[in-house]
Amino acid sequence: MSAAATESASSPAWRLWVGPLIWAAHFLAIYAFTALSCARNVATVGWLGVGSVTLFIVAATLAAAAALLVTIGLAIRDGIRARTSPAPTAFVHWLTAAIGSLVLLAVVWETLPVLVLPVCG
Amino acid sequence: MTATSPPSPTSLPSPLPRPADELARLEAAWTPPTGWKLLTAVNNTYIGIFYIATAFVFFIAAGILALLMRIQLAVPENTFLDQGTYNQMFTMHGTVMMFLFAVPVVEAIGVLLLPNMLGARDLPFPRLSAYAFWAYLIGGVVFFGSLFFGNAPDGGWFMNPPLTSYRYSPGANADWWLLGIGFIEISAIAGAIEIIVGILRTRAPGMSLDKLPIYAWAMLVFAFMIVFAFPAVILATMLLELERAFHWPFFIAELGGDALLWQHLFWFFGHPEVYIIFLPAAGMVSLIVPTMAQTPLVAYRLIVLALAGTGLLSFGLWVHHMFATGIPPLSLSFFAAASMAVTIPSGIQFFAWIATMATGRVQLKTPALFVLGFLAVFLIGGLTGVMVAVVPFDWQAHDTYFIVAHLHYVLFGGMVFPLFAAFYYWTPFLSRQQLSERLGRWAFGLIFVGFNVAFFPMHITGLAGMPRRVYTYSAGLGWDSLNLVSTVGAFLIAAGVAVFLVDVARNFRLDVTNNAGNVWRAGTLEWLPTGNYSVRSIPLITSREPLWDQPGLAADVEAGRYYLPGTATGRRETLLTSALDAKPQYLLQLPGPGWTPFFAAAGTAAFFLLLTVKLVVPALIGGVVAIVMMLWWMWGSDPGPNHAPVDIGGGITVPVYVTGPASHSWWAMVTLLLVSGMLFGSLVFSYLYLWTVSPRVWPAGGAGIPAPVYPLLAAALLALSSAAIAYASRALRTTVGTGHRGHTMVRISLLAALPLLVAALGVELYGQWQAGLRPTASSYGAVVYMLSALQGQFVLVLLIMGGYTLARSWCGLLDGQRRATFDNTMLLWHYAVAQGLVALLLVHGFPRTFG
Amino acid sequence: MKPHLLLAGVLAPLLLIGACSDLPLVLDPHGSNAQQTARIAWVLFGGGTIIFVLVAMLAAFAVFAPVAGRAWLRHPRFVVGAGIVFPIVALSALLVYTLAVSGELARSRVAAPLRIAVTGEMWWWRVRYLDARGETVLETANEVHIPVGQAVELSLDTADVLHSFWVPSLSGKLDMIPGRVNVLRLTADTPGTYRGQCAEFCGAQHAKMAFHVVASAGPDFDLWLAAQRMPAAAPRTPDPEQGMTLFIAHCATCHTVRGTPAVGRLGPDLTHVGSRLTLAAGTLPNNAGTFAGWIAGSQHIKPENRMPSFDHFSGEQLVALATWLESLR
Repeated sequence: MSAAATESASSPAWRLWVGPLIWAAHFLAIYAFTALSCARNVATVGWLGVGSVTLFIVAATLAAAAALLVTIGLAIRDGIRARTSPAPTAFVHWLTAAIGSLVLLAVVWETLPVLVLPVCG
Repeated sequence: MTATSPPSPTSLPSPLPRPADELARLEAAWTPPTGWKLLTAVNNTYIGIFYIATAFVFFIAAGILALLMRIQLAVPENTFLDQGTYNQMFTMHGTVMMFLFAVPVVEAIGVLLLPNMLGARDLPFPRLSAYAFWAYLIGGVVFFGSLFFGNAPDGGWFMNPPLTSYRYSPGANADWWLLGIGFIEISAIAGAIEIIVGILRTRAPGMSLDKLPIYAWAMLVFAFMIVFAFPAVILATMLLELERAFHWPFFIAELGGDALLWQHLFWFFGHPEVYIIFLPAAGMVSLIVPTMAQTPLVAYRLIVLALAGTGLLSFGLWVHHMFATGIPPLSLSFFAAASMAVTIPSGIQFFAWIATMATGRVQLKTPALFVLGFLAVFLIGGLTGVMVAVVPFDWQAHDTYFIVAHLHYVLFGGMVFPLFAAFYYWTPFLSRQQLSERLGRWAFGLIFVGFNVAFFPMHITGLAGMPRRVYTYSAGLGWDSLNLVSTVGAFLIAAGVAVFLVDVARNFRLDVTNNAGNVWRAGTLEWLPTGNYSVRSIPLITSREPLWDQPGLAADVEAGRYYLPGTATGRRETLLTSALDAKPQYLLQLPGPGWTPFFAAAGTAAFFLLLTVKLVVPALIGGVVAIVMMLWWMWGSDPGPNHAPVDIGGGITVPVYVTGPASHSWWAMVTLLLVSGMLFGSLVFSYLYLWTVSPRVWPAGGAGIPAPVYPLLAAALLALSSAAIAYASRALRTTVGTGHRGHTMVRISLLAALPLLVAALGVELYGQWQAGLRPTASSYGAVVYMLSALQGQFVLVLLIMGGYTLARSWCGLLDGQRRATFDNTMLLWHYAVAQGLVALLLVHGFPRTFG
Repeated sequence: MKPHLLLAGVLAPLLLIGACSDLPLVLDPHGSNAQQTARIAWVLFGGGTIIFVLVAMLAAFAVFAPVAGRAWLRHPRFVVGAGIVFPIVALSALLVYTLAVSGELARSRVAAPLRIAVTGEMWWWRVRYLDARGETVLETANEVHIPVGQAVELSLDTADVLHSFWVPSLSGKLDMIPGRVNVLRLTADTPGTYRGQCAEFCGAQHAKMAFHVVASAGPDFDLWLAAQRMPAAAPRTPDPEQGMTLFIAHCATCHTVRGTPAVGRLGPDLTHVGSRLTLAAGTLPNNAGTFAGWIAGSQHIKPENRMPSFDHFSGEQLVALATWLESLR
């Protein structure tokens, strides 16, 4: 494998995309599930008195939040370890953790509506 | 490949004295064309200047349209413009501002400044930028000209069907938009690819990612946003044009289509679009503020976070343009929440700028004035943005003058003010003389006051009940004086712009090589002494503000003491460095001036514009010209290892040619594949969306779907095609040296792969046709055939690329070492096969599983 | 000089607004939906103004205050506090508050609302009153009468392109989309006449597609409804009678007047057009003169609208037509 390819494989830069991808997947999932459930009028089916859409969204959020916390945690750990490495490595780890935190906030805010609003209005 | 770590700063890479003819040879390689041969220029400085000037002309033109509209609206029941003319004007004002001014101008500034700022000699694909510019110029001028023939689009800049479909817009007006703007979007994507590869791979050694100028971070995020957002509107454009021309009912409700499909696709692009426009401006402000305050930017890392965060979250907001469409409240709220989340990164930037100003001492020169104006105006726009992110409030404000106020506060405030700041700030980079401080203050005062007088009242006008896009209004509704005041303000803005133009006419003297110099005492590299070759030698960077922290840098660079102080191969060159650490990796040989980009652009423009007026044969001729020109230009690229590895100084020797995942052309191709993937993804979304809203036109449980033999056969053909290409790739490796048999195997594999790809498409089309499906029958038929149509576009491109690769092989220009052409073809091939397979799975598997 | 210029530029328009005496419609609600929205609007405007003033002061301070005094602004901690912590707190609060209001608006349901169907056409409004089964009991155009204090359910759809139903005094807007029926529930709190206008660009005459919602006390509404359900009264003098004859000969293809042979459905129902506030969807006041002018020259008043100008009528014929139509109250 060429030197550049080796560098990119071990470089932390690809991990910058993990947080964004988790956020995008979560967003797509909750929106698609809600839209489909309302379009096909299956939103009322539930479990333990809580609607299926609510359950799905909460589950998706818990999964996304867990994945994001792992991502952030690993990036913080690696960022601390990289203090002795050249500067860009630590910077990239910091950015990974920071982006992860921002999208974690977004994920939480995007979930709040399900606690307050009726699903299909 | 031998890349070693750079030497210590105490011994500079290239010793003095430099050879006597080194500078002369460098200048000779970079000699610019003159006179009418300027049409052949490819140097980013020239293309950048052409681009910015053209974009600004469109700004003036669209601004004049706005003045005419404001005259019409100054008094109620006015007869200055009739409804037809007004509707064309407001559509063109929005379309020209968004597509022909806003995105091009911020992209153009990047084209102009980035190479210098990064310590590169040019962008990695100069002919591509030249092509993008000429296509934009020719297309933009013809498009704007449609106004003079009364044929301009008149459905609003977002062109919602059914109004813009064939039934309610039978004339060519909407086609001008769809075809005209459609191919200008290609310009934007070409620019984005260039900027991504340029920023990631052509930086000065030592300019690691944490030392990247903040403007370059902004442009990197900007370019990625274009890659992910533009394909959605390109697809929407294709769908609407197919509906108009061939009656494929994507948006016609009676046949299973949905008007909201357009809105989803358009706004998935449209929302990121406004941040695409804003982020480069924010990047410019992040450079201007530290210079004006003479202190480094505070919280650099947080601003990088803010740029990336804004870019990312902006993709989750699009339905906030559709709050009034009846979508369920819970769904709307996801977007309301995300819309609030996106303000946090903007807030970070704001306070970082305030902190920076507080740290230094702001010289209140004209650039600083425009920046302060930007802060005030954009802040108001951002606050009204939070207001309209609140769903119930938006239900009152949507589609009224409140939104017109908001959008101008964020766009004019967020981009035009920084643009004027940038003009005053970077003129010394381009011109022998600075612009005038006195005229600059007048321009600022008139524009700032004029802007607020014009647009602030519109918040109230909207709350008073005046909808958008009305060519007149009744007296006595309380809108009269508000509109008159807005009109006065508009003319004040015009006066301010006129003062600016006077300033430019009197003081701007284009001369990059003898520019006014670093009058602002800025810290970034574009202020180094510059020639047509950009910098005399490529510096080693150890700081974010090299001109502040590395004393004597300018003199040393100019004396040729750093890397690559001349031209190693006698041609134009720049240094390719690694993405994270900016370690030198190889030398990129760049093309000089040529005619092919210009004629390719003319051919492309002819193709799209002649199709608009239904002159099909001339359009096809234009298309053929474009393709021939592009192949001609490509023929001169991919030179192979035509020169021994080069000593760039500091004990570093680099090759002059590289293939595989490290090469810049591989990276460009991968970026293009991301674009293609988003295009395909938008179509998959369209399929699933139409299934969600119109299940009645979907085949129920497998009825009407072609028999499994068709997709299985098509899939097999696709897989074989990929296998043939993979085999060719292996065979190519064996051709290094003498391997004649290897060459033959490569050619045979290519020749086999081509018909396999075509046959796969043919089988799918045949299967659908046999099953009785027709694209005009329903939205289901339309989207199924669209999947094949999209595949067909890739097949056509691959036929050309495959044929071209074969030609290179036959001419002895392709072997195991010299294989960039093959690699690009291979990447696109595998992508197209994967796309085809996913499409087959969707079309044949989905209805059987979920029907 | 500069700070004064900046302040003037921003405040001048504000002073202008102060000069305007009436509150804009959105902030002067007469319906329950609009009421809740107006409350949010005041919170947003108040909060926005406070934040703007604070941030502007901070920026001014950063630029103009003596160097020593600005030390606290220089640290990244300030950026984090002002740019991250404060917005998270403020926006979280705003999000929860506005979601709660959205929830209330979404949940408001009444057992037996008055049901009206409004169809957007280019460029007028077809209005049909429905019974409990959804059958049409009455068709009219460009005017919606409702009883005060009673929930009304408007079923919105379109006959052609996108339109949007917006009456700011009573409620936020809702789009009319082909292939869908969007339901808008609203209640008027006070009697009055409320103007609305199409709020989604729908082509040439989008600007002249207005309507009125007239809210009256229960008994008055019942009287109005009963009168509207009656067919047109027969004309009692020769002039309107000639007008009716002309109408049936020339206008029946497109228009309906119940009680006559005219049953066209392409254009608005004119059975009680004389009682309406305006003509041509809010374009003209309603009187004999404007009737005549509209018939003879609608293409000059509202160019490209779907009704041709009937300029071949003599003045006498126009008067007859206008007199008869005026009498249809």
